[in-house]
Amino acid sequence: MTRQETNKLLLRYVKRALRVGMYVSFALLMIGVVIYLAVEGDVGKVLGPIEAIKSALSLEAQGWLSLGIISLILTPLLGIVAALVVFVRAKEQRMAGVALLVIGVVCLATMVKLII
Amino acid sequence: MDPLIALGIVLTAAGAGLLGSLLGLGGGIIIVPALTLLFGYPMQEAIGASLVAVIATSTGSASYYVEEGVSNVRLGLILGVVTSLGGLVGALIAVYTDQFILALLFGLVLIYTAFYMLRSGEAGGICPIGPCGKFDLSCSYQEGDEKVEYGVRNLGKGMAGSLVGGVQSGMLGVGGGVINVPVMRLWMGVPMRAACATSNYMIGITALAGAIVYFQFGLIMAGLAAVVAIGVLCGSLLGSRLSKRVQGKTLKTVFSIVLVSVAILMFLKAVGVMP
Repeated sequence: MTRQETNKLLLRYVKRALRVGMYVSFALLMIGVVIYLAVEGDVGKVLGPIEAIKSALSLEAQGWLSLGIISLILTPLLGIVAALVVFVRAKEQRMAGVALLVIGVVCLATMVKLII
Repeated sequence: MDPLIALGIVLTAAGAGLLGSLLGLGGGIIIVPALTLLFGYPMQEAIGASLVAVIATSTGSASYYVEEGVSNVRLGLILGVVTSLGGLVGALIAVYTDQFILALLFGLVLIYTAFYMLRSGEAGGICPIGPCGKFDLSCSYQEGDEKVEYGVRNLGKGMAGSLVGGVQSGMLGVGGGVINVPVMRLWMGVPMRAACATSNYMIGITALAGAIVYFQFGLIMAGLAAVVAIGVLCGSLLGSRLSKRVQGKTLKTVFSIVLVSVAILMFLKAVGVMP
């Protein structure tokens, strides 16, 4: 794969990953906001993924909003994974390593409360 | 949340997303003071919502800039390693820091940002195409009829500067663009438009680690973050499409005056004069 072909593929994959994440998050957030505005009171903090799914299945605003925010937060990660796939296909080992390092930092962030 | 307050936050966030997208900043520089000073939210909750907003700005505008080929994804990922690490450290510092100290630091960042905005037209040369250490980060994009091609220099120095941007992002809920853009432009020789677009891509990666820390400490409020994210997404999508048409200089001057005014209010909050 030439550098030009890799670049084209890289831009296409990253763009698609970001767009998919954006539309999915927006849809989930809009459903949550409609339920949220329809009921009185505050919905509290963002729930963890499993609790959020359970809450969303019960048609609670907190569940839908949490799912929307979690998917939005994870969208840049999806973009990094898309870039990693392209670098692996193009055998760009250094750049694949860089993408894995960023993913490593994100994994470290998820464990920070357990460590501290 | 009162529907009128929700509408007010959505509109404020849309304005922040629009400006953030145009200037490569992320919008947090507007959202945090707006949520604390106008809507009365505690500093840590405002920062948590702002980090989600920064990711929304990045997602909305970077998908467009990446499609246009203006964002340098390779450079964004390399700098993203240190900015995300900085974001993680900054968020941890913020969780344990008094909100008045955060307000004071935020005021200082606002003053710096205003100063940077007024000076950002002054810039050095663009780096010619060529390898940068062990990486080839050369990139090109179309500017009207002209094809702009450039290389990247001083990767180590750029990574050190971006680390500071990352810490600032996690600590104060801003994108870090006020540091990333001048670092890329002045130290690394990246053209201004590419630096802003690459910053837009990077700020999402930077805010990701910080947002995960805030989420674990229960500092992201679902309703607040959702209305902010919706407003910012709409604003950033509009901003990225307007980026070719807007006169940057006037926008930067007006924005700088607003930032200094907000900085004064943040200082008043920090010393306890404002609630």
